[in-house]
Amino acid sequence: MAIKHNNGIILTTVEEVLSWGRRNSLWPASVGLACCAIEMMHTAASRFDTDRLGIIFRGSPRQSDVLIVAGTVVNKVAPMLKLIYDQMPDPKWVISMGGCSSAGGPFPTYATLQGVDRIIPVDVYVPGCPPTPQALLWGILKLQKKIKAKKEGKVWEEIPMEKVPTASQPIKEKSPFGF
Amino acid sequence: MHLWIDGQDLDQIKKSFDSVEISRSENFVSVQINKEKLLELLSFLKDKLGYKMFIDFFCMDFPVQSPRFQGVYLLFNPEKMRRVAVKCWAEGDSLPSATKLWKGIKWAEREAWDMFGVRFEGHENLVRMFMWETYQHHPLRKDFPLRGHGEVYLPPLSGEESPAHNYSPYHTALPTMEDLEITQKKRLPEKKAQIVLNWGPLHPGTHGTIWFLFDMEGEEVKECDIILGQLHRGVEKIAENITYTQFIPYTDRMDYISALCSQVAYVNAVEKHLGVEPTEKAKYIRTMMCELQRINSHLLWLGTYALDLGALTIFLYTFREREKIMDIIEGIAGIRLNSTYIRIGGVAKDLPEGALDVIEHFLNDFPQRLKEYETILTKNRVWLRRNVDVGVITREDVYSYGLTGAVARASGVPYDVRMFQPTDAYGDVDFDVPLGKVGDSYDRYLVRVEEMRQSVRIIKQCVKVLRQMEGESYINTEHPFVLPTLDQVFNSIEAMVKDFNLRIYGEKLPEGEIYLSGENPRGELGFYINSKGEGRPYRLRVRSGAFYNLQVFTELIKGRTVADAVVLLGSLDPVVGETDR
Amino acid sequence: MELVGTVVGIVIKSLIFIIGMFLGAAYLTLLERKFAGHVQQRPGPLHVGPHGLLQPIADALKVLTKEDLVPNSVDRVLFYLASLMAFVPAIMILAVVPFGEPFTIFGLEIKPYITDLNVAVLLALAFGSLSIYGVIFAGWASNSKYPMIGGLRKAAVLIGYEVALGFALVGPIMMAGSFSLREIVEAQQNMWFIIPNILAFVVVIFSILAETGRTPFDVQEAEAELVGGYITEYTGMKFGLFPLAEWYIATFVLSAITVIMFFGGWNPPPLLGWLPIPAFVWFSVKVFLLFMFFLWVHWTLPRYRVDQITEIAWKVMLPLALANIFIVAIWIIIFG
Repeated sequence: MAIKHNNGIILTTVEEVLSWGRRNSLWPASVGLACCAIEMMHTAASRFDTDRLGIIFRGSPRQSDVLIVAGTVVNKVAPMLKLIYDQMPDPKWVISMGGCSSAGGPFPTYATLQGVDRIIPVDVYVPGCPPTPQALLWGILKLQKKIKAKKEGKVWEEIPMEKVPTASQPIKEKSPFGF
Repeated sequence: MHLWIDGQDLDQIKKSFDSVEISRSENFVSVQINKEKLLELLSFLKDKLGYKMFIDFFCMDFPVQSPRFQGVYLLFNPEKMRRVAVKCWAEGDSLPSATKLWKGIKWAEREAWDMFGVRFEGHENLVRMFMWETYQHHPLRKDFPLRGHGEVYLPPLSGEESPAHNYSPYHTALPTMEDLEITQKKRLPEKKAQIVLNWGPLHPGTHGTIWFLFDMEGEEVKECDIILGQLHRGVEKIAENITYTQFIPYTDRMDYISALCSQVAYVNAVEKHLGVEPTEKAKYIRTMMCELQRINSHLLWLGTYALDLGALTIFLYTFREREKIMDIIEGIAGIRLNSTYIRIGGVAKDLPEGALDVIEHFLNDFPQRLKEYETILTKNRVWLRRNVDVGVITREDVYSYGLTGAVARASGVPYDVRMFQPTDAYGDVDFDVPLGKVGDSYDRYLVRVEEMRQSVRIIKQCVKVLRQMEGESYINTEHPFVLPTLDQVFNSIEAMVKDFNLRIYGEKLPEGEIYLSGENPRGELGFYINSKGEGRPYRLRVRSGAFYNLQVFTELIKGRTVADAVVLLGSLDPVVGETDR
Repeated sequence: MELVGTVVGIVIKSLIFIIGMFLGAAYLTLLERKFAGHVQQRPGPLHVGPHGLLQPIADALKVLTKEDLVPNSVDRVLFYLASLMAFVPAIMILAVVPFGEPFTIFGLEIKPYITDLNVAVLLALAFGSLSIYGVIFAGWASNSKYPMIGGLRKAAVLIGYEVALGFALVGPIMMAGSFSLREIVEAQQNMWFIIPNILAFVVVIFSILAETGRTPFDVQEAEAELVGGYITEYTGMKFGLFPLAEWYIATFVLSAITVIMFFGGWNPPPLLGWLPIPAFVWFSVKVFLLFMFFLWVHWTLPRYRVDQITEIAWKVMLPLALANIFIVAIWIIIFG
């Protein structure tokens, strides 16, 4: 994917400022589907505290920027999840949290959607069953980097699976906070 | 302790009904009767013999026989503490509806219709329980494949040909919005009041994906129905296709808030049928972990309940304590939430060094925290006004709806599976069962808070015993149906062969049936296993406490407002993973 | 010439007030998030800018550049009007709120208020009541069930508490003998009006909590019940105006009026008058403390049901406010 570099100085700066604002104020829609929702709640709670990064959960999809698909998407709920996605205003992003929403997980059955990316486009996949709060935070930080990379005209690199943190293997990368 | 119907009652049944067939085994006693006499027998059991509490109803499929389907009713006598099962063949694929006898059977019959296609004569509104109305199949029938049929063409959105090696663009049936509208219309056939409010399924207040339909006059709810199935993943169907050990992780993912309790309930049922006796240490570890999980689960309930009522800060306080328990569980089992820790014959790993110290430290700290929550809530005027006299459940409702767990105990029914059917180390530890008086939301709150204190008491006793058991075996690997530990597999060829055999062919449970339940934080979680002597169950039924507890909601909400719906739902405390399975 | 000077002065002052209020309200959001964070044993916004100080800027940038999504089914005129109706009256109350005594710099007399009306209290109450329309418009125009219920709830609450608030403010007015906020402050030089008006103060606290939609009275956007209440369908800055107006500007302005009516405005506390602290600072400290009190309540208590709230308004708060008028009347007869 070749992205042309934007050479206008003023426009680039404006774009960068806007992208900075967007990636530092990602409000997820509080849509919890299954087990992963519990870990999503833990991510928002005191110990991990997504509010540090400016992330607060909004009840209404009209006021949210990112949809965290937390849990198994079964066939019956799929059209409603798509509706939620359609109700969100642009620019919007999707994080697929956990094995179930990424690819059906341990439920290869008649009732389960085999991956949420069959109905809505996904930006970041977070593996795990369920992913730990560290892993979800990692996913959010990756999304922030993705937003940044897109605005700077760089090509977004896919991340190898083994770099995803688990509880026993904390995030070792250089602190991505700050700017 | 024998928990099934005694000979005296069986004689009475025989005297009154001459066409019954009785089959008795240690783990399951059933009375089989023909379809014409079924309702008569059920009401005889309910009114004359005192089997007035409804536990479960489900169907089984025997495709080569005729009639093909068999219905099983599980009843309980709360005075004698005895269970009985009634079986009946569904001639012409239909059974008489028992909704006149027990209100709680309404949803169970809907589920049987949804999953097996068995009709119920006299059911007030026989709609599908989990799938949508226009769905063509009955998925739990034996001739329906686990992965369904590829009915919808869903090409990858990314535009690639095939994103994964096993990617198939033909997907199982997906509903459209029109299908869901038809489903909704069938639930409330006629609008009685001003507006129909769809509360859920993706709503921050509905504890997951429950879909409520409120027919409202102003803010007052006149009529209510609940559409489930937004998390129906086909767990019972999966169970028929995998071995018994492989099913343990699925029990976690059903009731994901109290994973360990579900594992213990399931593994106990399998063990009892196999005749495996876990080691003494494993029993105490299980009991301890169960109670830790109970505290964990009740803390989540308290937090979300307070959050729904507007007290956000309590939510974050309880999550602080939850993190500590999660850390303990992670340290012992290796996984935070869905810890697949219990194994047939024992537990997966030994307690790590210092685990008991950490738990003891937590136990010393926790009662003060609990006091902190109670200071903010218990005597709070706002809390009292929102909770007292909201959603009163009578004793009769408890029996009729088959309510279990804290909901039943708050109404004064001393129904605690840990007490009358002690598994693991529950028989050796000392604890009280708190009971409520009124049966309102406030009582349910008090009962659950007190249960947390009792759990602390149990864990303390377990820790004391476990301290003296250091170095003892945590899994009974001598038994031929217990998986050897990793250490043994790597060091001995016999263990390796045994491991291979068990993993490939499964534990061959002897032919027969068993129903065994455990006390989940959300009520009685029972497992009915029908084995044909193979490595996987012929039919595995999960009796979910939350499923039946949620059913009473439609009754309680009538004449109350949407604001009370939050209170009622919070105090009934359902988990969608378990209600939908 | 003098007229031009006055007009220019008022325009400049209005601009300062409005821009200051916007920035101030933006940073009040940060204050609230930080405060809530520390109440809940977490740090709150931390990584956006130094110690999270740029968080409001990031939020504002994002909200302003979000897609302006208007659902097809809404009543467009009312839908747009509602967010203005909620915001403008709240900020217009500022016109009559004095922040200190007139003072002189470089021979230029500066009055730290836009205008000193002799019916300032009435004007503030009137503007406060106008914001009900914003709520009702938003609920109706959204053409959706949750906003409708939320709007009706909020309207019911506002009507009940406007009446109680109006009666509660009668006490200080009686004692000062004036509707002008500046004169009310001047009348409190010796004794704050909280002394005989303690009942009225309680009523005012409850009313402010109810009008600004903070727990225990935040029924209109009870997230567990109504998703977002009457702002459910709003997007971008149209959405941003509602909480900004309701939670921050209205709370701030009403806190300021409460301080003026009951806590002596910019008068120093008794026995501390000798300290060399300017009047403006005293006023700010008092308003800030009161504002923090509301945050504290908000992040501690659960919420009432809507019928219980209106019940409290009509059965408890209104009689209390009336009783206060009697007490003050007797006080004036004895000491007055």
